[in-house]
Order: sequence, then structure tokens, then C-alpha cells
Amino acid sequence: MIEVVDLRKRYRKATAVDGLTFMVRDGCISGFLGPNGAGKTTTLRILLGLVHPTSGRATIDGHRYRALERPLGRVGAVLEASNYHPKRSGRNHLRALAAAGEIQPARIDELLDFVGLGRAGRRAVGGYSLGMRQRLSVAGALLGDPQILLLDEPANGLDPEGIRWLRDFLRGFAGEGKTVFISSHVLGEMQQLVDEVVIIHHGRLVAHETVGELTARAAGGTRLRSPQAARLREALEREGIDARGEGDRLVTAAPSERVGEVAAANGIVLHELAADTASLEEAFLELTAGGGIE
Amino acid sequence: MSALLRSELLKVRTVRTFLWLALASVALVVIASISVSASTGAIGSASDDRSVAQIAAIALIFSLIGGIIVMAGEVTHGTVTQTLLATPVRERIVLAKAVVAALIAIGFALVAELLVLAITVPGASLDFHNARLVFLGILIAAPLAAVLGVGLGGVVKSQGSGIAVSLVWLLIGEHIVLLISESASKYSPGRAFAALASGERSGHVLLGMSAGGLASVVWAVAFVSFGLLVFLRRDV
Ligand SMILES: Nc1ncnc2c1ncn2[C@@H]1O[C@H](COP(=O)(O)OP(=O)(O)O)[C@@H](O)[C@H]1O
Ligand SMILES: [Mg+2]
Repeated sequence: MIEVVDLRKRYRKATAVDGLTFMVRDGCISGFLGPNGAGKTTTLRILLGLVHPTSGRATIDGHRYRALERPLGRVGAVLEASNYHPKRSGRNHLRALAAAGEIQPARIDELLDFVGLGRAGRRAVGGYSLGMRQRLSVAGALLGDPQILLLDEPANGLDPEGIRWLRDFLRGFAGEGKTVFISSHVLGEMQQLVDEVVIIHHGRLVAHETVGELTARAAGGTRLRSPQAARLREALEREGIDARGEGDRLVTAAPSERVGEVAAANGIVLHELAADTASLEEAFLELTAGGGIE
Repeated sequence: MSALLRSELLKVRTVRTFLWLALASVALVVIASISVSASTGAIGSASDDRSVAQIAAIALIFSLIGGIIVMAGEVTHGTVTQTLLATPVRERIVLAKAVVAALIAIGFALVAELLVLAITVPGASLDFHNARLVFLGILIAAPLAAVLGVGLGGVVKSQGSGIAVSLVWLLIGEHIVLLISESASKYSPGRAFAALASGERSGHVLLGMSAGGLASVVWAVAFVSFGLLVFLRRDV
């Protein structure tokens, strides 16, 4: 379980995280969304004990990262690429990490094969593409066979094939009941991947809900066509639902399930009932356009 | 702790940086030793023996640089992030790095001393008996210089700036201190280490060997403590 409580990080010139509180449950894939500069990286780095918060706390399974017994066995992290010594081979990089984490060296070659680096693992990282570095980061994150995976914009620099690979891998990982917390400012990818989203803007929480709820919120309306439009409109109004329209068409802000139920309860014929779902992108843009939803 | 030491040693062994440092140290020691041997009649007194033995003190500079790189190199390359993920208790990292840097430094010093002996004993008739305190002093000073380097490496933001700062200090800073106060300059880091490596029980310009040794220990501990404090508070 990842828990962030009233977290604040103030730099000299900017407030990166500003009273952020949220909790991510075990066993699901949660997206961590926000435009560039929203404070995602800072929050993740605080969670990992790399950055000191100004106030508040960020814990994993109730502990600060520093207090975790075998941290690599609890949490794996994929941070920005390029954090490698250019002259050291990927395999040797993993060997040094494994030694520090007291992890069996046999796991290294296994993981290099798994992420598709195989023989390239013996070459110096300086010659790797961005995608290869990301794969090496994933291998590093998996060294300790962790239950939780934190990823900071892992899709950056990956080609479409790499992104597909990552998505399949994350689905499999979460399928084993493990937890994934993945940040992104590119939303198209997340829509199909995540179960829920934590959205921040200017270091503050704007929304924490399922993808379905988020999408419904943005447009969230229902379009319908009925030969008994006028009767349906009255029925909806009795339920406190506003509807507009002309002829046999109606538009309402209520979700389609609700509208359908009202129609059925009143024996009203429907010719068309469509949920007017926006893409996650639109929902997200709407939420982060101003200072938040409040 | 042994796991962490193994990890730090692996990091040192899997890049060539420290090999190049060792080679540079060896090259300078060999050149200096050969030129002493070539100039006939170089050694006429016990103090000449000590001066020749002090060629091995070249290893101290490289021990210092090695210490800086062990610590700050990870910041330069960004690998410090992953190091901290594997070992979030930063005190342990600094301790392991200090030990590894000290081991490297002892290696540098031993190689330098053996080379000086191998070249100058037959070539310039170096008297080991007169020189042995110098060699002992350098063997103690090298790991201390490395630990000081680790401390400095914890303060600076890159290995390059750490090396630059230390060289500027040794080439310019020390002289400025000397101009300001001759008595205080005896305790400056460069002269404290020089005293430890001097082989003189009581010095005139420098402190004596044991006082210099004590001052060197104080400098090394002060630097590594300060470096640790800065490193503990640093956002990575
Ligand atoms: N080390 C730092 N020093 C000063 N400001 C920083 C630092 N790191 C991040 N910031 C600022 O904090 C804000 C949030 O940054 P970040 O967490 O990287 O956002 P995101 O990952 O969502 O793009 C930005 O305005 C950024 O400029
Ligand atoms: Mg970021």
C-alpha cells in the first residue's frame, strides 16, 4: 500500500508538492497523472527516500522507504533513463545492484533475457538506445522480485513496440496481485492500462477515481431518442434529472444507466441510448485546465 | 556491510577509471625515480634518502582523487539514485565508500613505494633504513587522503568540480594560507599530510610526523563528517 499524507515539498523558487494526500491500494494498476511540472517525479522520489519532503509523509506498507528491511524486495522503481555509467555494461550495473541488495546473481541473466537485452547486457550502457536503457531499468527494478512497482514516465523514449511490451508486462505483473503505480503526462496509454487514476496539478490532488468515473465526469452525459420524448422528460424531471432537446431527441447530464432505468420504470420506448463518454484525455484536460475542480 | 563492500568494489572494478588513475600514478613515480637514479650523487645524506622516498607521495594525490571519484562519480553519472534505492541508509553507503577508497589508496601507496624502491635502491643507492619512516607515513597518509576525498565528494555536485577544487587548493590555496600566517599554515591539510609523509620526527617548516599525522586524521574525519552531513540532506 502506498500512502501519501499532506505531503509538501518546497524548493527555493517553486512548490513542487503542495499538501498532497492519496492512497493507492494493493493489487491494482494506478495511474499518476498530471501535466509537466505537476509534481509527479518529486512525489515518487519522496516515496523512494531520494528527496526529503518539507512536511508530511509518504510511506510504503506503512514504512518510510529508508526503514524498509530489504527495499529491493518490496519496491522496484523505474526512474528516468540515463542514470548509468556510460562505460559500465548493463550486466555489471545489475551485478553491483544485486550485490548491495543481497540478491542471487543468477537472477541477473534471467532478467536480462526477460527484458530482451540478453547479449546486449555485456555491452557498455553508453551504446544503448533510450529504449534499451528503459529495459535495463525495468530489469533493475525487478531484481528483488518486488510486490510494488513505481514507474516514472516509463513510456518516454520507448518505441511503439517497446510500449506494447511494457504494457503487456505491467498487466502480467498486476495480474499476479502485485501493485503498479505509474506516472505519465501522456494519457492515451494510461486509458487502456490503469484501473484508477490519481490526478495532480500544481502539486495538489485534483481527482482520484476509476477511469470510468473520470470519463463520465468530463462529458458524462447521455444522448437518447424516443418516440415518447416528452413523457420521458417529465419522468426524468420527477427524478431530479434535467433533460433538454427537441423532437424525439434528448440530451441529459445523467449517466446512461440511470436514464435507461427511469425509462424502463415508466414503460417508455427508447430508440437510441448512448453514453456520451469523452476520452480520458479530454477529461484530464478539463480537470487540469485551471486550478483544479474545486 | 560485506554485501555493500562487495557492491562498491564491483563498481570500482567494472570501469577503467581507477586503472587509469593507478597507471598515471605509476608513470609519474617511475619517471621521478628514474631521473633521480640517473643524476649521480643524488643521495648524500639521510635527509636525501627521505627526499627520494617522498617520490612515493605522488600516490597521495591519486588517493585523494580516487576518493572523490568513488563518492562524487555516482552523482556525476546519476547512478547514486539506484545505489540509494538498494541501500537507503546513506550512512552505510558513505562508510562502505570510505573503506573501499581507503583500500584503493593503500594499493596505490604500496605500488608507488615498491616502484621507488625497485628503481632507486640499485640506481641511486637509496638506504631503506633512512627512508622507512617516509614509507610508513605514506602508507598511513594514503587511506586518510582517500577518506578526505570521499568527504569532499559528498559535498560537491560532480567529480570534476571536486577534483578541480582540491587541485586549486593544493596549488594556490595552501600558498595563500602560508602568506597569511606561517604558523597556522603548518596545520593546513596539504602541509599536515606532507608532514605525515616527511619521515621527520620533528620538523622545522612542517609539523613533526606524529603531529602531522594527528592533524591529517582530524582533517580526514572533519571532511568525511561534513560530506556525510551534506549527503544525508541532499535531494537526489
Ligand atoms: N530540484 C529541484 N529544484 C527546484 N525546483 C524543482 C526541483 N525539482 C522539481 N522542481 C520544480 O517542481 C515542480 C514539479 O516538478 P516535477 O516533480 O518534476 O513535476 P513532474 O514530474 O510532474 O513533471 C516543477 O515546477 C519543477 O520545476
Ligand atoms: Mg516528471
